[in-house]
Amino acid sequence: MTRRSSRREVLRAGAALAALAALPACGPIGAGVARFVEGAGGPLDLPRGDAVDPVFHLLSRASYGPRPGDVEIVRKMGRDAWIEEQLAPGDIDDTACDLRLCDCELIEDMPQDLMSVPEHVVDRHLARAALIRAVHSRRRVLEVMTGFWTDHFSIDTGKKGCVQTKPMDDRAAIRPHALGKFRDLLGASALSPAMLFYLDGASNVGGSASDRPNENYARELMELHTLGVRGGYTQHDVEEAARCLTGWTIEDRGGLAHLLTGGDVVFREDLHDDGEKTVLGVTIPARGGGADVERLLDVVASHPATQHRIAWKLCRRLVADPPPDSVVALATMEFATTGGDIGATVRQILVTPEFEASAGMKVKRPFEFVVSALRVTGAECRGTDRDFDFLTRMGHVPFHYPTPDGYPEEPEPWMGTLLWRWNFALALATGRLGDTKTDLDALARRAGLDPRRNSPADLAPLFLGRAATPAERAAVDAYATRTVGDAAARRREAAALLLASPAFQVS
Amino acid sequence: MEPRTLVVVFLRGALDGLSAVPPVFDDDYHRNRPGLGIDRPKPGDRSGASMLDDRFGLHADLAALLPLYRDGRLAVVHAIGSDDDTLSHFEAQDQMDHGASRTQPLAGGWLGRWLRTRGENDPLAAIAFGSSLPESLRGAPAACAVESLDDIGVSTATGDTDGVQTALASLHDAPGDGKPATALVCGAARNSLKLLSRVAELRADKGTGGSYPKTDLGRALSQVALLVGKDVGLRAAAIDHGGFDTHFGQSVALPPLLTDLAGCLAAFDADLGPLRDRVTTLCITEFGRRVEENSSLGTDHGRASCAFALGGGVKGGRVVAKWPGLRLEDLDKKKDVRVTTDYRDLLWETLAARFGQRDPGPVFPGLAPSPVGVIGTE
Repeated sequence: MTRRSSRREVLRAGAALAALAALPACGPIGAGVARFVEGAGGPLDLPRGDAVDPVFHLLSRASYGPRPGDVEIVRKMGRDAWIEEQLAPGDIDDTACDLRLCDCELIEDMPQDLMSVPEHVVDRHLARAALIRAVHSRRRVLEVMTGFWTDHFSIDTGKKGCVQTKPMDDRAAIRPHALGKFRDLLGASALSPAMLFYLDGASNVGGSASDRPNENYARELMELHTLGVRGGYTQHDVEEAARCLTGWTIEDRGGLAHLLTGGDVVFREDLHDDGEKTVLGVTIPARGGGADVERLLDVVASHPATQHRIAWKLCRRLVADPPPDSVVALATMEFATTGGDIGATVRQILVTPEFEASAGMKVKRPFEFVVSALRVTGAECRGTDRDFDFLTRMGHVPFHYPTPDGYPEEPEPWMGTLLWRWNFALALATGRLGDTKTDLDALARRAGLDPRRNSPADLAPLFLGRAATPAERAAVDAYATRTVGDAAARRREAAALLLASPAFQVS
Repeated sequence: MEPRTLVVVFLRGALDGLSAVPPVFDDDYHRNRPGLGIDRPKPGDRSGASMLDDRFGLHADLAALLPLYRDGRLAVVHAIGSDDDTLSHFEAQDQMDHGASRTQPLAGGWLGRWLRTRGENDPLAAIAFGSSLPESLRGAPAACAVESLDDIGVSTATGDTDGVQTALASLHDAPGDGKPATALVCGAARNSLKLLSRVAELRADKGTGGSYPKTDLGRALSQVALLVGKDVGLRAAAIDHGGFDTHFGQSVALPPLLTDLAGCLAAFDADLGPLRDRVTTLCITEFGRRVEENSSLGTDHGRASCAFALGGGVKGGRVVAKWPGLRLEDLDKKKDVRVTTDYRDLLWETLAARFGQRDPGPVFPGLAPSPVGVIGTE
C-alpha cells in the first residue's frame, strides 16, 4: 500500500477536516487554507549580501524558486536535511496543493472516461494541474524532476489519443518514478498508453512475415529516452528493438474507439515476433513473448551510454549548460553504482561545489520564469486563462512541444519571449491575471518594509536572493518616482521591474 | 537574401473549389450542379465568370484576383486536399494544421515545427491574427495571437509605457554580473526593445496602406503588410478565415465570402507594392464539397478543393491541376472530387523553394515530396 494517496481520497478526507471545512468545492482558497499552505508565516530574514544567497540558489534550481519564508526554513533545518526530505516526496504532506487542484479534476480520470469530454478541456486541466503543482506543491524536487522527465519522455497532447491518456501517463508513469529508479520509469513509460499512441507503438505489429514493425518508438527509445543519438546503436539495433516491442498494443489495436473499452495496454501474442533478437550485442532468446520488452529495456537502461547521458542531462538541468565534466563524472558514477537511482544522482549533483558555484549560469525557460515569479511573490496561482495566454505566447505550455525531443533546455530558442515575460511580471504585480493573484504590499510588510516609504528595490532579496545593485535600484527608483497614473499601481510596477530584470531571467 | 514571409490563410469550413474555380465546360459538372453550377462566360457579359485557362473559370466574385492572375503573381492549385476521408471539419483541419496524413499522424503544428527547425527566435517571427493561436503554430518558439498590432507592446496598469521601456532599457544596459547567461538575456532584450519602438511607429502611421475591405481578413492582412514593411522579423503569419461551410443557400452565402477574400488579397498585393516578392501567401482549405448539390441549394462535405498561391516565387497565371475529372467513375466514392495533389506538397514546395528548407523530415515527417510546380525560387 503506497503512502501516496490519490487526490480524490485526500478530498474525501479533507471534507472531514474542520480546518478546511470552509473550502467550497471549487471556490477561492480560504485564508485558513492559505495559512496552512504557507507553513511559516513568520517574519522574513532577507539575504543581505551582494552575491546570491546559497540557499536561495539551491531553491532556484532544486525547486522552482523560493516562496517567501522558504529560505528561512531551509536555513533552519539545514540544506542536507532539506534535500533528504525532498527525496522522499511521499512523506511530505501536500494536502494544501491537492486541494487547489479542484479545477483540474479530470487529471484523475481514466482514458475511457475522458472520451466524452472536449479535448481542450482535458488538455487545460492537465496543464493547469502542472502549473498549480509547480507553484504550490511542497514536493519541490519532485515537481522539478517531473518537469524534467516530462520533457525527456515528451508527449504532445495534440496527437490523437494522447490527451485522454497523458493524465494517466503523468500520474502512473512519470510522477511515481520521477525520483525513483530510471529503469522503473522507463518501463512505466514504455507501456504507457500515451506513449504507445504518441510514438505509434500501438500499431507496431510483427505477427506475420508481411508485417513491418513500426520503428518509431524503438528509435526514440534509443535516440531520446536512453543511449542518445551518438550512443553507439545501429539501425539494426533499432529494428531488433522494434521486433521486441511487437504485440504490445492498446486493446484491439487500431483506433481511438478502443479507449472506450478500457484503454488497457495488452500484449497480443499473435502480433508478436517471437524469434531471437540481438540488441546492442545482447541476445534475447526466442520465445520470450511479452518478456522481450523487459529484456530490451534492461539492456538499454543499463548501457554505459545511457548512464552517462541521463547523468549529463540531469547536470545540465541542475547545474549549467554545458555542465562541468567533473560533476557529470560524479553523477554518472552515482547513477551507475546505484542501479540508476535518480534521487541519489540528484543528491550527488546538489552537494557538489560546482553546483554551489553555478548561480546565474542558467537562463530560466518561460515556464520556470512564470512559476518562479509566482513563487517569489507568494502568489496564489489558479491556472487562469490569462496565465495560459502568457505561456502560449512564450511557446511553453506544458505538454505542447511538437516533437518527441521535448522543450529545448538551451536558452537561445527562448530569447524571443522577453516581451511577454515583462508583461507577465507587470500583470502579476498589478492584479491582471484573473484569479491568479499576489499582494506585493503585504509581502513588503512581511519583510519588515513599509511599502509606501521603502524603495520597491528593497524587495530584491526576496526575488533575486541578494540586494539590488546600484544600477537596478536606480532604474526601479526612477520608475517609482515618475508621476503618471495611480501611485499604488506604479509602486507595484516598479517592483515588477525586478522580475523583468535580467537577473530574474537567470538562476 | 532579403527577409521573406509566409502568410497562410486557412479558409475554414471547406471552400467549394467547384464554385471558386469551376470547370465550366464540363457537362458532368453542370449535370451535378443544376442550381449552383457556374455558367461558362458569355461573350460580352462581364458579370459572370472569367476564364483562367481553357478549362477553368473564376467565380465572378473573385474577379479582383484576375489582374493578379494575369500578371503572373497568382496561381490556383486544383484537386488539392488531404487523405483524411472522415469529412469532419475538425479532423481534416486538425490534420492540415498538424501537417499530417492518415498514415502519419502528428502532434504539433507544421508551422511550429518549421520555425523550431529554422531556429526562429525573434519575438515577432510568428504571428496569428485572432483570439487564439491556430494549431498550425502549436509548438512554435515564440508565437503570439493578436487581435491587432496594439497588442504587441508593453502593457501597464499605469499607462506609463514609456517609463517602463526606459527602465527596461537601463536594466538591460547595465554591465550585470558579466556571466554569459545574463549577457545573452541583455542582448535579446535590447533587440526586443528596438522592435517595440518600430511597432510603435507602425501604430502611429497606420492607415497608410491600401484599400482593404473593412473585414477581419482585411485588418489582418493590412497589419501583416505593415509588419513586413517595418522589417520586424516576421517569418510566418497565420490567419483564420471562416464561414465557408455552405450547406444551404450557397449562391447567397458564398459570394460575399469570395468578394472579401479576393478584395483583401488584391489590396494586400497592392499595399505590399515593391515588397510583394518577399511575401508568399497560401490560401488553403480543409476539404472541398460534394460534386452534386443538395436539396437546399447548398453543398455537403466533399474531398478535393482548390488552393490559391500569391506573391513571391509563385509561378502564376496558371491553374495547376492533375484534374481527376467528374465522371461518376472518376469520383471518390462516386461522390467527390478525387484528391490528386497532397496539400503537404504545396506547403513543402513553398518552404523548400522560398525558405531554403532542405529536408522535409523535420517539418513533414513521412512525406516523400512530389513537385507541384507552382512555387519557384525566384
